Formats: sequence, C-alpha cells, structure tokens
Amino acid sequence: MTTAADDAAVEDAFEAYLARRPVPGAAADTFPGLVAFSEAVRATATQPGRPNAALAELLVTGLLTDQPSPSTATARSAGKPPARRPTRVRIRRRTAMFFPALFAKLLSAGAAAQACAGAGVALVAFTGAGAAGVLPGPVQNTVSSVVETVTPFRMPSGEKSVADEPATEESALEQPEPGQPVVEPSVVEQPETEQHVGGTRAEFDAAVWAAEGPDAYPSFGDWVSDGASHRAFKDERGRFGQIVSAQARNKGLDDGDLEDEGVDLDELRGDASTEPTPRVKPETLDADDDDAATKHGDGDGDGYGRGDGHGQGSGRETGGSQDNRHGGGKGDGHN
Amino acid sequence: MPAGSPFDDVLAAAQAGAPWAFEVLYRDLAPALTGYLRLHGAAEPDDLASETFLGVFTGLSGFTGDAGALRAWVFTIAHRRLVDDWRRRSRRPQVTDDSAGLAEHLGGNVEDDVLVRVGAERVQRLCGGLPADQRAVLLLRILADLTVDQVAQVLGRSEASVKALQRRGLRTLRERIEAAPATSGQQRPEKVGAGAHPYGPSRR
Repeated sequence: MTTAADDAAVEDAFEAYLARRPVPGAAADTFPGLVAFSEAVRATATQPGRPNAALAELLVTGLLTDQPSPSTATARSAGKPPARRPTRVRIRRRTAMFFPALFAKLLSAGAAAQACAGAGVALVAFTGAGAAGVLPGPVQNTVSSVVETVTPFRMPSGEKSVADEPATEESALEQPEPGQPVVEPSVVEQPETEQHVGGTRAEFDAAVWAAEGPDAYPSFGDWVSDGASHRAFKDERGRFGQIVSAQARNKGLDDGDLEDEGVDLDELRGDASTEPTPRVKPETLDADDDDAATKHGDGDGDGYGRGDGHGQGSGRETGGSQDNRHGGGKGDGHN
Repeated sequence: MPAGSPFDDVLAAAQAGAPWAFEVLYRDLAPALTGYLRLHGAAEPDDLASETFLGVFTGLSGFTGDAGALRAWVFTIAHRRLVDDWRRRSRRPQVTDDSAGLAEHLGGNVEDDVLVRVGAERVQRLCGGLPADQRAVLLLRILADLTVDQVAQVLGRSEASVKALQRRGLRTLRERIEAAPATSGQQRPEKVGAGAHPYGPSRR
C-alpha cells in the first residue's frame, strides 16, 4: 500500500539521484528499483542515432547564417575554398562558354521556343554582330555555324584566320552542334590566346588539371571534358581514367551521375583499365593528315565523348571538309 | 559539453553555421534526445531526432540562453514533433518494432548485449505502461536532465502540474516494478494495432 509519505520519500530519492546526491537510505528501501530504473533509462540513450541525409549534410557542411537550409553554396562556403584559376582565365572561360551554350540551347529548345520574342531578340542581336564579323573568333565561329545551319546565309567565319593563324586550331572543333542541346557548356571552351605562342599550342599542364580537380570547373563534366580534350596523360595509359574515377568517388558520383555530366563511361573505363587496349580511332582521324584542323580534330576525337557532337556541328558548317568527316566519325562514337 | 569547448563559444560558432559546433551540440544532445523519442515509442526515433536537430540548427541564430536553456529548447521542439508523430500514427495505424533501433547500437560482447537488451526492453515496457504525460516528465528529468521548471516549459504545463505528474509517475513505476519482477526479457515488443498508439497521449 503506497502512502503519501512513501511518495514523498521516493520523490526525495529521485531528486537526490538527479542531483547526484546520495540517495537517502529510507527512500532507497521504499523504492529499491528507482535508481536501477533510472540508470537503465540512461543506458538506453548512449548513442546519438543515425542522422538523416539532410542533417548529415548539415553536420558536414555547416550552414550560412543567411541561408535557411544546407545547400551546395553552404558547402563551398563552410569548407576550404577550392583553388581557383586566375580571374582573367575564369572570365574568359565563362564568356567562351556562355554564348555558344546560349545559342545551342536556343536552337535545341525547338521551334516554339525559338519563336519567343526574347530568343528572337537575342538571336537578332548576336546574328547582327556575327554578320559584322566583330565577335571574337570562337564566338564568331559559333554564330556562323548556327546561322549557316538554319539559314541560307553565309556568315563570316572566325576560321578564315586559320590560314594566317594556325594557332587557333581549337576553334573549329569546339563549337556546339546545331540542334543538339549543350548541357555541358565547357566543351565549347574558347582557345586561350595566350596559350598559343608563335603559332604552336602551349603545353596543357595535365598535372595542374589533375591537381585542380573538378572544383575548379563549373561542373564535373566540364573538368573531365577539359582533360579529355587536352588528352591529359595520354602517354600514361589508364591514368586519366583513374584520376577521373578517383574524383568521381570523392564526389560520390555514380555511373548515372557521370552520364548526366556527359562523361563517356565506356571511354573512361577503357582508359582506366590497367591493361592497355587497342584504341580504335575513326578512320577519318588519320594522324597523317597535315591539315591543322584535322590534326586538332584527332585530338578531340580521342576525347571522351563530350566533344563529339560539337565536332559534328563544325563539320556541317564547313561542309565536306576534313572537319566534316571527322565530325561524322565522332558523332557515331558518341551516339 | 566537452572540455575545452565552453558553451558560449560553441553556441556562437553554431549560430554562425560552423559545422564543428553543430557536431559538438549534436553529440552532446542527440543520445538523450533519441533515447527520449525511442522510449516514447516514436516510430522512427532517428528520423525524428534528425528533424528536430535540423529545426534547431536552422533556428539557432535566434536563440539566447545557457546550456540548460538550449537543452530545454531542443527537447521542446522534439516533444512537439513527437506529439505530431503520435497524431499521424493515430490516423495511420502502423506496426512498430521498437527494439530494432536499439539492436543497431548493440555490439561487442554477446553477454553484455543480451543484458543491455533485456534491460532496454524492460525499460521500454515500463515506460510504455506509463501515461504519456507521466512518462514525458520522468524521461525529461532523467534523460534530459531538466529541472521541474524546464520540464514545465517543455510540456507547456505549470510546475505544480509537473510535480504532480512526476509523483504519480514514480508511484506507477514503483507499483509495476514491485508487481512484476524482472522477466526473461525475451518478450517481443508490443505491436501497435489500429487506433491510438499505446505511447500516445490519448491512451489515458
């Protein structure tokens, strides 16, 4: 029979236990299981549990005070900022990527979207500039390619300077294929003029590319594409694929993510394999060709799928040239 | 709070969004919080705890107070989410196995694990047999180390009410423990059928 006095004694014992004081003997006798129960309750709560994905991200990345929830932006801000390219290079890359991507997206949006007034205005503005031939080389190429593909008009091409300036060899193949959506704008990288010294292309520093990693690029696919287009570690069979795979693992990207990024997994796996495998090149990518554009196409053709469509687009615009054959070959591989 | 990490510094860092401070707070509070939710019969105590911490961390910039106040605030949020969970489950009957989450945390010596499990299951049965408000008071006092005043704030009750609930809860516990000495502990946890959850506030 529990009495009020018993209740009070138990309560005193409980308060003493919670305050880490010795439990009075009388109270302990009244309710001998009290301390054991309390200890058992505490023993069931020694593990923090498993945080869900959102909380796990928050615990890793932190939170910007001006942002209500974790995001990729917070992830960047909370951690060590990635190594960044010089501002001039970033701006150039951004500019080079923007315009061709814009045009490709406009074209890929279909007739309805193209009919939109905004797109029309943009097209008119850029077409006008392209007709005047005042755009920078790669952008001019893009404009020419687009306009000549969708209209009967001939546009001044940035490639006309190739004869005088072979160093611009990249430009012919780094343009978006008309009618194909450009998801990864970096594949249309503008040749960086300061890398072309005396008509020969400056060395692409694969070590820098590998060290910078995808954080220095707008997307993982851009990083892979950059390395592929420059044939990073082409002399070390498998190294390129291993680096890309390692970065993908670090980023937690699976095959689906990589495909979304535009990475050619078959090419990548072939490169990452430890045993060298015969490299099948499209027959049009003949290294014996002397044409500068073709030589450049060979380099791009060995790339990893991302640049294929763009090569084809270039081929269309030049109409039956080496570029055209090259573009068709790469297009087959891509598809 | 770990030594070398004064609460004010940790709080300031957490309010600024520093992940290390979040982790300190999480490690400090999560075990008790998750245990509180589990012993209250939450279907997914880990998820509920995670949601609680997400709410805490994102709203931490507006918090002022000491460690005890933070603890009370965290458990206030957790308790509200728990009540929401009860309501959801009362609308959608579910079957739960509350020992599943606990089993994940066992490991090492088999005999120790068995003893822990037996003790945990008995504690769970005893807690499950208490009315929700009495259980909440006792668990908040034992697990969360809250004062009567803080428990009153968490539950939205008066101090006198909390003291009365505590007294009745201790009496109920004592009667049950004395009436049913420790069993083998191999009994399966209660299954929750249609209708109100046995842990929920509507039972008694």
